[in-house]
Amino acid sequence: MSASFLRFHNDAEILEAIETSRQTFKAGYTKSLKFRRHQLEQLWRLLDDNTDQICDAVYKDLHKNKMESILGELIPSKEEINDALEHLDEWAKDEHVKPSLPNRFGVTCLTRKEPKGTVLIIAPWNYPVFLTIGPMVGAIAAGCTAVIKPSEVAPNTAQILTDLLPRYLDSRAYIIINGAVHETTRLLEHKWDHIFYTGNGTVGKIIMKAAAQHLTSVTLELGGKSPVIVDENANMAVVANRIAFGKSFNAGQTCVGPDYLLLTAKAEEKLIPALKKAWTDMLGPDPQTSPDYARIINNRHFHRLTKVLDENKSGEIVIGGQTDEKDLYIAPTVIRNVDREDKLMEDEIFGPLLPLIRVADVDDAIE
Amino acid sequence: LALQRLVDENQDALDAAIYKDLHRPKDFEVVSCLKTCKGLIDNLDALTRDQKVVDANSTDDSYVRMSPLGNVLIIGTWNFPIMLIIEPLAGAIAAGNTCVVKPSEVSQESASILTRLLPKYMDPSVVSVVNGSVEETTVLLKERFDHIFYTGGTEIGKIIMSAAAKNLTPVTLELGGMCPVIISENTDIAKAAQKVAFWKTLNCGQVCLSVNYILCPKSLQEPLIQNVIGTWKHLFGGADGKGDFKESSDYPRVINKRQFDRLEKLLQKVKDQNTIVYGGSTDPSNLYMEPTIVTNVSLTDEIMKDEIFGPLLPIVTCENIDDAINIVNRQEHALSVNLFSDQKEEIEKVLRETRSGAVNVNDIAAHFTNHDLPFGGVGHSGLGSYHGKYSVDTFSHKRAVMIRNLS
Repeated sequence: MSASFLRFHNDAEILEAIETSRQTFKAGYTKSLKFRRHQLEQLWRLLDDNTDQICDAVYKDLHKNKMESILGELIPSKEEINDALEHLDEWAKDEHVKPSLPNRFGVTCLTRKEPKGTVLIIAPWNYPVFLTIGPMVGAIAAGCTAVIKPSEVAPNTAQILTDLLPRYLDSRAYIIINGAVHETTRLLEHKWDHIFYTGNGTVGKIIMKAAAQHLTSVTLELGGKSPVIVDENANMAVVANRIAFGKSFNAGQTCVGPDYLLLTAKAEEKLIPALKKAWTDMLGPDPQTSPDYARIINNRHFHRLTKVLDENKSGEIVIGGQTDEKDLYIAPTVIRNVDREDKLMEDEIFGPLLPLIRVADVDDAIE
Repeated sequence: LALQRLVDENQDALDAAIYKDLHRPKDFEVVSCLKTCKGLIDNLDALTRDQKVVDANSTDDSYVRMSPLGNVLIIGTWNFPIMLIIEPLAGAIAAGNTCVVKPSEVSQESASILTRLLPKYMDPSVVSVVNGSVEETTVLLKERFDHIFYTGGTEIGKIIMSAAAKNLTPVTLELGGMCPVIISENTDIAKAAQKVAFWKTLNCGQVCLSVNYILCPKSLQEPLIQNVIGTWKHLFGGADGKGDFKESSDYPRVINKRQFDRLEKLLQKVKDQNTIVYGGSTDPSNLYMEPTIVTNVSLTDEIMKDEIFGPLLPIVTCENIDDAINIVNRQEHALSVNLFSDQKEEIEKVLRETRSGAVNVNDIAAHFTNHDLPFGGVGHSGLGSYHGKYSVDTFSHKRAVMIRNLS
C-alpha cells in the first residue's frame, strides 16, 4: 500500500499552518460558544454527507468493510460530536465555589474553563477517522484552534480528510498537515499549548520530551498488552464470542483489544473449541474469504507479526496460523501454553495473534 | 491524621525553622498545612469514592474508580519550605500513594526538621525523605516514579518534565512567572497600595505569587508610592514608623548569598537604567535588602526580563487597561494576574484577554487560600494544579470500570 499519492507538506507550509492557527486563536473568535457549536455541526455534516467516500477510503487503507467502518469509526465520531453539542454550555460554564470563611462577604470565587490555545493532534492509523475526529471534537468544544496530523500509514483516509476539512470547517482554525517522521519532528519543534497523541509508548516518550522543552501539556493515548483473565466457571460461549470479536475486529489492531489470555488449563480446554466456533460463526470457515475480516495495515506490520510468531519458541498453534503476504492477511490465530517470557509476551501484539498463558489461579494471573 | 499530628504537635518548631531559614515571622504557612490536612481528612470519603456513571440505556455498571498512581516524588522548594512539602504530601497520601519527599537543601533548617519529624510520625514504608542537591536530585530523577510533583523555577521544570518523559511519568509543575498588578484609575488607591506593600515584602518578595511589577496610570503613581511606603513603615518601622527595617524582627531576609548576589546585580542594573524613588540599600552580611520602589521603567530593561523574586518593585506607567493588557501579554503566562478595579467591563476585559494560572480582582494572590479553587499555572507558570479535590485528582488515576454480565 503505497503512500506516494499523499502529498506531504513542506517546511514552509508547516510554519504557515502553525502561524495561522496561532493568529486565529489570538483573534479570539474560536472562543465563542456559537462558533464552537457551528464548527461541531459542520464536522457532523462532513461525516454524514460523505459516509460512502469515507468508508471507501477506510476500506482501501484497512480492508475494513462498510459496516465495521460505520460501527467503529463514524458512529463513535458522531456520538462524540452529539455529546459535545448537547453538553457544551454545561461543560464550558464557570464553576462557582463558596468563598472561604475569612473573606466571605461580597466575594466571588470561580473556576473559568479557558481554551488552552493551539493544539497539535497526532492521529494513528488503526481507527483513522475516529481517532482523528474524536480529539478534534474536544479541541473545538474547548475553543482551541488545531493543527492535525493524520497518519500517513492510512493515506486514503488522510487524503479524504485533507480534501473535506477545509470545505466544512474554518480553515484558519483547523488545519491538516500531512507527513511522516520528518514533518512530525518539524511540528514538534514548535511551542504548542497542548499536544494530543495517539499511538505507541516509544513515540509517546519522544512527544513528551519535545513537549517538555516548552512545558506543553500532553495527552498520550498509548497502548500496552491488555490482558484477559478468564475464570474457568464462566459462560464460555459468551466469553468466546466477546474475545473472538475483540481479537478479530480490525484484525486485532485495536489499542484496547484483548492482547493475551490468562487462564487455567481447565478453562483453556473449554474455551478453545468455543473460540473456534465463535470465529466460524462470525467469519465463516475461511476468514480470508469473509468480507468482514480486515487486513494488516501494511507490509512492515505484516512482517513484524509473522516474525514474532516465528520467533516465539513455546506453545502450539491450535487455531489459525495461515498468512498471505500479498493480501496482508493473517488468520485469527490462537497459540496455546505460551511461556510468560516468550516473544509473544514482549510487546503489544497489535494483530490477530492470541497467546494463551496458563495460570494456577487468579492471584497468579494478577501477578 | 498522622501528618496532621506532625504539624499540630510541632507548630512552634516548624515556625522556628522557617524563621531561621527566611527570617519570616510566624504567619499562615504552618496553619495552612493544618487546614489542608483537615480538609482532606473531612472530605476523604467523598473525594476518593467511586464516581458512578449512569447510562439509562444499559444494564452495565459503569464507574470511575479513583486509583492511587503508585509512588510519587515530591520535590519541594525553599520559599515556603514546610507548606510546599506538607500540602502536596497530604494530597498524595489522601489519594493512596507512597511518597519520596525531597525538601530543598537551600532552606536547611526546614529540611532538617522535616527529615527528623516525618519518619517519627509517618510509616517509613509510605513516606521517605531524601536530602541533597543537584546531584542527588539527578539520581532520583533517573528512577521511575508514577508521578512527579515539582515546585520551583521554569527552567528546572523543563528538566524535570524531560526526565519524566523517559518513563512517561505524569508531572505537576508549580512554577513561577512575572505576576503583574494592574491598577485601574477606577479603584481605591490607598487600599490597593496596602495590598501591594504587604505582598511585595512578604518573604522578602520571594513568593511565586508576589507582585512582580505594577501597571498603573501616571496620575496614580505618586499616591501609590506614598501609600506603599506608608504601609511598609507601619509594618516594619517600629512604633513610630521611623525605625530602620533592618532592626525589625518582622522584616524578612533574602534566603542565601547566591540569591542575594543575583538581586544586588539586578539592583546595580536598576541604578543604571531606572530611577530608585525609595529604598535601594542593602547589607550583605545580613542578607538584608530594603524594599525598593523603581520608576522610569521601560519594558526592555533588565528588571522586566525575569521574575524578580526579591523586594524590588518596578512601576510601569500606562494609560489604560488595553495598554496594560498588551504589556501583560508580552510576557509568558504568569501564575496570577492581579487587577484593582471596580469596573465590571475592565474586569471582564482582563479575564477575556489575558491568560494566567489565576486572576485576583481587588486583591493579590488571595485565591490560594480557597482550597476549592485549583492552584496552578498555565504555560510557563505551570502544568496541573492542586489543593482540595484537585490534589486528590492530581495524585489519582481515574480508572474507567465497566461491569457487564455474561448472559
